[in-house]
Amino acid sequence: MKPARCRAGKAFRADLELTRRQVLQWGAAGALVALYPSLWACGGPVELKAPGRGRFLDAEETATIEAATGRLIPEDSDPGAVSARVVDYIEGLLSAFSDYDAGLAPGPRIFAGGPFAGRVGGESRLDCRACHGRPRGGTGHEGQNDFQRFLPLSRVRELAWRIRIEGSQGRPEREFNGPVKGWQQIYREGVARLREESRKMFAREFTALSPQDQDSVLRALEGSADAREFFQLLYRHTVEGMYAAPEYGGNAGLAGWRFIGFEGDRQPVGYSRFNVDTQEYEEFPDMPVSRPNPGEG
Amino acid sequence: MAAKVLSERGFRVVVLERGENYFTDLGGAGLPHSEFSNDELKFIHRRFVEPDPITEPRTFRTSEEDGPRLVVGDVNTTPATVGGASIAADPASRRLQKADFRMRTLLGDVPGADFRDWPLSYEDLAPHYDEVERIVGVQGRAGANPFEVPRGEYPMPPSLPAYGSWLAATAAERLGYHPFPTPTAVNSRPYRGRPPCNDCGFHGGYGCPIHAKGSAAVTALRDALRTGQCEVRADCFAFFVRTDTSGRRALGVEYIDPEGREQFQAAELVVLACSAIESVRLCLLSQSGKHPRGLGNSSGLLGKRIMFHFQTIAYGGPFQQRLHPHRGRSGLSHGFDDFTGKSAELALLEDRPVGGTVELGGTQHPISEALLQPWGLRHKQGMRSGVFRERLLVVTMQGEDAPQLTNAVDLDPDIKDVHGFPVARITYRSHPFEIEASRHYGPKLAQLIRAAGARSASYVTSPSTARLVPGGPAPIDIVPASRHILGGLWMGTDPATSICDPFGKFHDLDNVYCVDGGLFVTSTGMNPILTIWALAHRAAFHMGT
Repeated sequence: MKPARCRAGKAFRADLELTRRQVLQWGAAGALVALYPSLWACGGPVELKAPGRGRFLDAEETATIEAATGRLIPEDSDPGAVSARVVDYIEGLLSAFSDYDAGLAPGPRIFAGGPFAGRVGGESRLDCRACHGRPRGGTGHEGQNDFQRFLPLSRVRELAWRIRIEGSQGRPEREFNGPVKGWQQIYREGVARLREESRKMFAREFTALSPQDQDSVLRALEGSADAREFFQLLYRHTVEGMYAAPEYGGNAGLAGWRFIGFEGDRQPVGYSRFNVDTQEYEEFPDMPVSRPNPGEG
Repeated sequence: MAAKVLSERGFRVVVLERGENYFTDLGGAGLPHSEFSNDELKFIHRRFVEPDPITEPRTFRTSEEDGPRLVVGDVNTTPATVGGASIAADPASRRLQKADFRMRTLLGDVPGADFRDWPLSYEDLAPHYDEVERIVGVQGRAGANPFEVPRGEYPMPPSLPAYGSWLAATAAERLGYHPFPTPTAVNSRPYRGRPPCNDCGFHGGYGCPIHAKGSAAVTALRDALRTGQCEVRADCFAFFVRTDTSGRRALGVEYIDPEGREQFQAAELVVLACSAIESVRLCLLSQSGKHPRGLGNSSGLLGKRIMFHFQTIAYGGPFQQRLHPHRGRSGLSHGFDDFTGKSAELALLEDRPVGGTVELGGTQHPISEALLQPWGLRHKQGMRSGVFRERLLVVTMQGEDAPQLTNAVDLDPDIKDVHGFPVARITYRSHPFEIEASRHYGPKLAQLIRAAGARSASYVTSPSTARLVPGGPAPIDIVPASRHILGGLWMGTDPATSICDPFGKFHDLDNVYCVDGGLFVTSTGMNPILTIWALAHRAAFHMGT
């Protein structure tokens, strides 16, 4: 969606000084649609932007995590986690609620909307909600990206994700089964531990080490009882940032999908087409479903 | 399915769904908008259509000897969303075989197991199979499977085979098995206003963005909504079925609404369709003076005989060529029934164990594959070659799981959900019946994968059969991965030995029905979704009569 519209949305929200709680009381999405229809227009007015650095992680933490992801999925003849901006994905996850809490987004950065990212073109015969039943095709909405619109969460699901990311923080409503350490705290402590290990092993900051020495520090963390949880979480999130849809903040330039030959999201085109005239399925010769890839038969 | 039949019969129907509604205008004239998408992170790793294990956990143990529980959190988390499990299923739509209805007669007494005959026959269900196949739109080819009960043509012919599945089917045929294109509720033609499948590959585990998958939402529930008689209330958690002073009649259902407030919905008829584990839990939470052991539990048996399919998962590779299972319906188009009880008569004659249907193929997307890869440069090499994704062939046997009175769902004594209610605890241990079948057929499945071109092949089971050491760590895979959850509310004619009657009505109540997998008397070796729909369809015509 056009940036102008996003700025208009922000200004509008700022004018009303909406608090998140007020929005919730209205039944978030419905009220926003009623007040500002274009916020829910096709493609979503919440402009995708690289999650701002420093919202949760400070500059040194960011640099340390970026370096670590670069060893987990390194650059070689193909891009690695650094080129794919995996660190932006991780920042975006740890601060998933920040735009939402600031009243700048209808939902936290947890679930991208659907149905189509518009990467493969094609026209949908599905109806578009903002077009009120008019078909999408020919209405000027082709090729827009529904994934850029992050969905509002239900009350229970929002609580689940706040517990997961922010931790239970001693609040009774988050501790119905006892305290939970959130990802923010795991990262904060884990990065501190990583830097400490680096200084202990090599007397230097992790970011200043050679790749081989960085690997040694990471192996030490992986094998330690107290930091293994952080290491495993970091690996999981590095993988997610590398291979998830780019709207979540990583996989820049589709680097993760390209180097493994994965075609990514395919709707509304898919890999086959049923020809109503011939009553036969047709396949793309270079991306077959029922046959081996070209040259591999 | 029940909501459709009841709405069309003129009942006013309120559907309370504990999950979210991701459709806009589901009952409208055109195809609905949905938030379903080709997004691995959202569906597989962030559980878009499943309850979150933080706010709605379950617990698991293998027996009382384990103490209160071994596992807390993600225990067989089945989708909860408008449309239910069918939203994310690969809806293989299989009819039971005639033998499935009389396993007790065929097998006799199996020590430690509780096999029983169903209180109905294939013939009782056949007209409902016909009808639900038309409602949801099933593709398949009559006669392609020699072990299928003879039947009329499917509503639609099979769509494109998936290459890896076809390779496996070809190998199976060479080995003397009888593969066929798996009947499945996915359009291969324009059907009832929904488009044909375009093989995008985001299938099992995903909601279909173009509604080519015949989920209950875009088929039966859409029909129900279009009558104007049906209302869906999403994000509403039913926690208590209120009964009258006699205890025989339900008055309605108490639930938590989206804002967290308690509400009551009065009803002349209450239908439970929460999937077996949660339906049992709702009955246990509905304990009252007239139902001191839980709703419908005068027998004391409610929640027992919980069954999963015992999965034997054979895998092999690496293949020289890429199998590209990310294209097509999760790379799975074919299967065979040679290892089922096909006839259980035949199994007994041949002196071989009763296994289950075999699904040829499967897939995982890049994040799932990458989590299996090492880190560092080897990660890049592994991902480039696609060794766990593109060059791996997986086949799965959905093994029949023997019913046991010691396997049960009850309420966990300590662990609560976000609303403060005790969660479901599953106590489950596999029986030698399914373990021996797996040992018999597992090597044959690995042999099949080698015959299809893999350099090496092996197999694992879910749940794991690794021995639990008392006091030692639990293998992480002791919880069954199967989302086929069956039993606990099974049908029978005797109120002392079963929970529901042959139409799914609770013996103990005049106006409460169950229409989910809880009704299954035995687990069978077949994907259950079509039979669940057929039972619901049959029950809904019986309700209020």
